[in-house]
Amino acid sequence: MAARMRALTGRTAFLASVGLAYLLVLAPLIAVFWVSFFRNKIIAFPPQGYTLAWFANAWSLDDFRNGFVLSVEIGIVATIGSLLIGVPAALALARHDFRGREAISAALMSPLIVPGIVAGTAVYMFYIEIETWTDVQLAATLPGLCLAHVVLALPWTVRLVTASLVGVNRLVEEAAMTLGAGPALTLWRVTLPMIRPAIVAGGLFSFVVSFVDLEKSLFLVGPGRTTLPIAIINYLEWSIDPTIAAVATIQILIISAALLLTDRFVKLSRAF
Amino acid sequence: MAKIALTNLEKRFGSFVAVESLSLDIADGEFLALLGPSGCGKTTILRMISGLTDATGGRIHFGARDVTDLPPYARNIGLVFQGYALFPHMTVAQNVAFGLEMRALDRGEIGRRVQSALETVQLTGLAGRLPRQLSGGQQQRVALARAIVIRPDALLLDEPLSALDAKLRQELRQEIRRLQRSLGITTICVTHDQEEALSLASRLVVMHQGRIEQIGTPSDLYESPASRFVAEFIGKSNFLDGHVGAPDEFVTKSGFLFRFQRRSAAVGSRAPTSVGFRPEKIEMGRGRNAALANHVEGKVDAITYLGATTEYEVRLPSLERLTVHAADSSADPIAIGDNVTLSWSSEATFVV
Repeated sequence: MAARMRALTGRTAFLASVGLAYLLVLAPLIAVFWVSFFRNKIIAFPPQGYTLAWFANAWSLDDFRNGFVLSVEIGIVATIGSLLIGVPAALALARHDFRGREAISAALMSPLIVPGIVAGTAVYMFYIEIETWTDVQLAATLPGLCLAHVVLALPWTVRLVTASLVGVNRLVEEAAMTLGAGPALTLWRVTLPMIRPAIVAGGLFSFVVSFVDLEKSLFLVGPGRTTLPIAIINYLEWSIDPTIAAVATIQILIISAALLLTDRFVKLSRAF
Repeated sequence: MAKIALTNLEKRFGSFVAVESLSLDIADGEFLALLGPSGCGKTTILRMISGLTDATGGRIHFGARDVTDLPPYARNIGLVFQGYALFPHMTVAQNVAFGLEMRALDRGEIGRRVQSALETVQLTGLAGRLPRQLSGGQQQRVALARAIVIRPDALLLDEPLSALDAKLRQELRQEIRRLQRSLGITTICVTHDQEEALSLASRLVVMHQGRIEQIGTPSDLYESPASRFVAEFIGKSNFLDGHVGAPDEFVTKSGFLFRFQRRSAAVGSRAPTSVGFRPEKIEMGRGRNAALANHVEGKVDAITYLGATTEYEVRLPSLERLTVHAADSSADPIAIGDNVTLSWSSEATFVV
């Protein structure tokens, strides 16, 4: 009896702490979602009624619309760039032992460790240096911004694909070779299909980290060009009506969709 | 199908010699087993024949073709891996078709050959399944079908049955043998399981520390092992140390005289240091069997019932111990502590 009581208490305590953790994570998201439908002109409780007007308002503002389009475009470029560099890099890192392997691995992962604002400053100064040496302008240009986002996204692809490659049975690739497939065909017909979930996940993650990036982009956008997170910050400087909540809601929904989609292909917990 | 010739084949990993100057001819259509404990170099030989590992010395020929420097995909071999290594993202039919697609055959031909290979291994109903939906035995059959469908010059099996349970192993062993005979395909099987090797192959190569200990038919190896290693690795043996006295007589350290007939040529110049005889070749009774050449008296120390036979531990006056396998005689059962006489023939006696 006492044992059962103890078990029950333990279980209750466990469920309570899990519930609390979820609440801490989800409460801000739910609040933003909720506020985006308030009729109030200023974000305040209690709501004075509900409306969809803020969503229409957000779309009518050029900054948000253009920011959204630009963020999607840069996200796509970052995804493609991150896959084109990250997948071959992961293959090399997971399969070959060469001098400087650890150094290259650390360099590829460093964007995860360096604070965004520091990285943003550093990239900006680096671009300026390049410009003084070569006259090629990268700061405040679209290619410069895209390049920075590719670097930002790279660790995710490298990490996910490397983790997946480590789990691939080398004998399966050797089997393909004994059956007559050369290295290129083995890669295309056997290795890549086996790590496809990680490639898909790496791509989607790349898109998400690029899509939400604020700190690096702040330094690198040119005049008259804003990404969605920057448009949000700019808007917040002057007004705090629920438009901002509506924009955030859309952003959260897009990212959630991407993450849910990713999780269908690969259990994200497996990569870390 | 082709004769396979290995000439002075060698593999070194740094200063470690995995395979030492090994020469071996495998006849067209022969079923050869490479038998040895793990680390004896047998898998390395298989990988060198398949091209997955480079030889550091020597040549490999398939028929007249020197394949030593060819990559695995240019050798035309069928390799069945330990653990099967099926393509997890392809169906059974796609797995089997893979090698044919690499040979750029036309679709109709591929379809026909996949179908017939699946029939051979009795898997026709499972063509659309993925490997993870199959049992171990079924996966093994897919691996076999995938290897034979390309009509390889050589079929290489790496511990093909080690992942299966005993009953299934028996069943597949027979199936592999039937398949090998009907296709007449030159086959090399690597295994550490003596039972598997004895039952599958027509010729066995026993390996030890990168070298060939002995080559022979299953009965050659069992009846006249060339070394103590072979005698201990294949079956069970009694050994007594000593030296050869007369040409057909062995004197043990404890002073027994035993007549022997089996003396493998492979022993060569080295003088034999032990006499050996198999536990089941010994006749055990209250008195000696005068028809047999060798006799020794002792006391039964332990009895273990093994089902088909009973194992007796017999202690000799010299305190040496012998193992005897005999059918339990219900008329006059032998008990622990009984004095017994062991008799065996000179034909069943070998020196190593």
